[in-house]
Amino acid sequence: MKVTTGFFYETFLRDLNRQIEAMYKAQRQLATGKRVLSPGDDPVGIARIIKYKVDLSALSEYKRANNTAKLYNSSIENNIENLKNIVVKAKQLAVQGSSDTLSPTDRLALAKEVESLIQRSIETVNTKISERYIFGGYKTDSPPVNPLTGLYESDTNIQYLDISFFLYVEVNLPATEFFTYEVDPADPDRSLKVFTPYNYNFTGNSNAPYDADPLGALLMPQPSGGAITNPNDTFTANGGTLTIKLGDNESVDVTIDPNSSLNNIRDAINNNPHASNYVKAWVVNVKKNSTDPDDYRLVIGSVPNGKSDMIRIDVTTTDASGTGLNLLAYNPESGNVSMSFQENINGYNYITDPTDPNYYSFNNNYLNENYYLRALHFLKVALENNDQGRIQKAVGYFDKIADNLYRQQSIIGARLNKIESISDYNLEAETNTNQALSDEQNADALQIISELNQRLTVLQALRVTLTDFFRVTLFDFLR
Amino acid sequence: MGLTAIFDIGKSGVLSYQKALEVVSHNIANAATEGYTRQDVIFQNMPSGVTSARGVSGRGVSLADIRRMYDAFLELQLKTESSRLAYWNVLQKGLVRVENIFNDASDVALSNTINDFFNAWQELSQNPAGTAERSLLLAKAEYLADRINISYKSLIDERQELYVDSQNLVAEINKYLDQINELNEKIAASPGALDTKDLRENLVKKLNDIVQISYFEDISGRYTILLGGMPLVDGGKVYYLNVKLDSNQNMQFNLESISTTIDVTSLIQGGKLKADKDLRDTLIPNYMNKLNMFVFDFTEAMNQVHRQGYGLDGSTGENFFNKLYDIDIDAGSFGDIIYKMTDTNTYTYDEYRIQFDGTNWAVTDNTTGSSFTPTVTSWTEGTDTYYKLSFNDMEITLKNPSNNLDFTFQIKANTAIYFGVSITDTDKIAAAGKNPLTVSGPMDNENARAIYGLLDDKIIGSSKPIDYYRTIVSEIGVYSSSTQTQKSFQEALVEEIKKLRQDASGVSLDEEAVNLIKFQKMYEASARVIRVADEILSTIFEMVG
Repeated sequence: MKVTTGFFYETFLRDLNRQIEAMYKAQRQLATGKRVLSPGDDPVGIARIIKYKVDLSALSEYKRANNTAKLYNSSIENNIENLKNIVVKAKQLAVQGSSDTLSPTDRLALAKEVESLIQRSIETVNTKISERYIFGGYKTDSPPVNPLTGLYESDTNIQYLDISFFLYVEVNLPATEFFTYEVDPADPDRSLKVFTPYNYNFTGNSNAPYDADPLGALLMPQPSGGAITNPNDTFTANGGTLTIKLGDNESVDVTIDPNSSLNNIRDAINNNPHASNYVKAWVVNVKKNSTDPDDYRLVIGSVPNGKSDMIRIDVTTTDASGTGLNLLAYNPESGNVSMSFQENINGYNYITDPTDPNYYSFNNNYLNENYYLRALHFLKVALENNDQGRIQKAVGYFDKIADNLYRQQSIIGARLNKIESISDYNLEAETNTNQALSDEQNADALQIISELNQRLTVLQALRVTLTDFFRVTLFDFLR
Repeated sequence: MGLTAIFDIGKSGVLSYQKALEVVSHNIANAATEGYTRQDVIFQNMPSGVTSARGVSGRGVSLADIRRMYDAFLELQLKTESSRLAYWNVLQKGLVRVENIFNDASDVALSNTINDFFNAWQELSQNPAGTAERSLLLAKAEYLADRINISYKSLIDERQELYVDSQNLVAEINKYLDQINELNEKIAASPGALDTKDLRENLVKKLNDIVQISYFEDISGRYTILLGGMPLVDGGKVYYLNVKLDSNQNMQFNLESISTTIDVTSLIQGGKLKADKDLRDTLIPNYMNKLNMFVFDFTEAMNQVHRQGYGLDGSTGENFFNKLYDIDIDAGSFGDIIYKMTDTNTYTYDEYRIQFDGTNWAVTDNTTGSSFTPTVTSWTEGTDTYYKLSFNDMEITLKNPSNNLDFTFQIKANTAIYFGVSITDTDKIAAAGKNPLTVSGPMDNENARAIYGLLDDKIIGSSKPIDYYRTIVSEIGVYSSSTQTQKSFQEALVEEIKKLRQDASGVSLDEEAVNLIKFQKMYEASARVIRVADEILSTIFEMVG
């Protein structure tokens, strides 16, 4: 085969270019540190590279979200810790106040101290971390708890932040969970419903100057046929008369119509002008947990409170024994006792219907152990009014309040745990993705340099041979 | 035979070798000329012309012919393959430019911009009332829109560039046709013009690189040039090509024949022109459509979620991005409408009319006049009734349509150009799931989280946004790398054929040097023969003198 000069040049040039082109690419790979310079270099690789980059970008954003979530939740935890300290202090004051040696003036001084604890607690709950009330909902324009009324005025929305692919965490804790509660803005007594005055009478009945409280009251037993799940269902088939007597007072007859429900009986007692001077009746749902079945009972307390054990109730009815009105009998002297005297109806559920006129009066005491602010206020008014019985009771409340705070803290602790483990996971994912991206995208400098050197050698050899080859032609020898 | 015959023989040698030296010199001179075919001299001994029974020596040498060392088969092969090479070459270069537009290997990639946009929503969900976060989000959204606009415009520019390129190529074709026609005439007049043939061969090759043609030589040596059977040069006449844009903005190639203009678009095969046509009218529009579908579905999905949310000022039902279709409601109403492209085709950007009589749906393509029966699925969510119509790679979801609904809509062609942020007031960014003024509060981040969640939702056709995008990039990569492979293969092939052609037609300086010496020696020898004849004559003259 004949190799012509022109072709030789051409081939040489092409080889030279090929080498230089390859060297240029290697050089660029070295300069950018990237193996894949354009999609065509590695179409499969580029798809992975994009995915890795997206993941990394999302991870770095999640890292920020993680930090934000951590910041909020740790400050929630810190503030709950502060509240716990306040509770400890309040309990000390309650123990101190319950001592017989203290004078009413001393107790008044303690009450002032409790008042300052209340204000400090509200300030703690109204903490704002970078534009956000951590104990509020979505609202940011006003603090969650009104310092004057103690009412919760924010919403109860839980705000979430995404801290990982498919995982999110709560970053606020509405104070309704443990601190105080909301009241319908239309309620005329709204401003009094957290900081309620001592023995405040919500019923507006002048004949009942003191609203009864269930510190001690008579409780109806559960009917043998099963719990009453609807207080409007017929309770007594035949009706009859309840003869109610408080201590040495004159006895009062209350007539109960046939087919009356528990609510009818309650209203019959409370609406009776004579009976309501001595006793107060409520219908309460005594289930202990919200998941338990409903269990409505009639509760009867003395007016004023504290003398419920002196109530006597005789029943005249044709209801079968052990059913209907017979369940409401209480006369230890005659031995006809169906109801039982309860020192404290704690542990039973509240009156759940907010339209019940006794909703707040009954819950007045009852809400305390669940609601921090009410417990402190309860102690404060008890101290102010020198009510040793209630002061004593407050001591017990504070343990429960502290328990509740521990519970909230453990919820936050769980959140922080989740954030921590996710942030570890994200960090690991980031490292792994970075590794994968680097494997896919980064140039192996060592390999490229050795390749470059190799090509350089070839290039030099090419140049040398070419000059040698063309330095002489046959013409040089044919002189 | 007389003594003087020796002079003649010597003379024939001197003249022949002088001519041979000329040819060799010509070869050497053209060693680097492209397409030059080596010429060779054919010597022939001259017979004596004397009738005799005994042996009679001849009368010297003569030049029988000067031949082009030309292998017609190889030339044809070379032309065909180099035409293919030209095609792949142009295609590969074009793809590199498209690749650059979608280059995600770099740090300023489009996918980063998409990420940044979603990250800004995530940032907003951390502080939904923050002005800084809101402004940042708007800036990122505008950047995303700009970035896609620019990418799309680059594709449009690329198409325009290719059109101009094609116009130039067509002009070049016409120039070559003229020149070939001219050379045809010269060759017909002087069949021995070897170098003219080389020139013509070269022109045909160049022409073939631009567009694949076929040709044959007629008896008088003229080339007839055909484009897929249609004559371009025939019998001294030239038929010119021209290019313009048809109604679909695609290139249309026409041949101006004697009386009419013939559309020869489908006859353009191979060569640079076909590569330009493929790039401009098939490949780039494909990616433009993909970008359009991305932008359209992205906008619709974003807007749908955004409309459900509330801004800081309590506004709701606002679109985040500009609406990318025109809608005209003739009768009736609906609660909400969401479009989705599942693919694109020729009819995607047509105007459609949709009618609902309470039970049946009718869809008419107003642009073509044809009607469709859409696939309808309906469901209820709470008190709302939804209908989803699927037809022609499109899904339309309507909320609570009234019974007499009648409307027309049209998706904007070049959708990606219109991609832009509609919101200007940062307070209108709907981060909240409920009205923050009346129901929830400024810290409500439900909708921001929902929008961030779109990153992981199959909102583009049946793909997640980034997955859809990286499929585009990867596809271009595969295309580009296979084109590169094709090109390299074709290059090797052409090289091989060139080698074969050089073997026959190329000039080797060494060979020419040998020939030069050879003919020089022959020339010297022939001159010596004349001297010998002279000496012999002198000897005879001295005898006489």
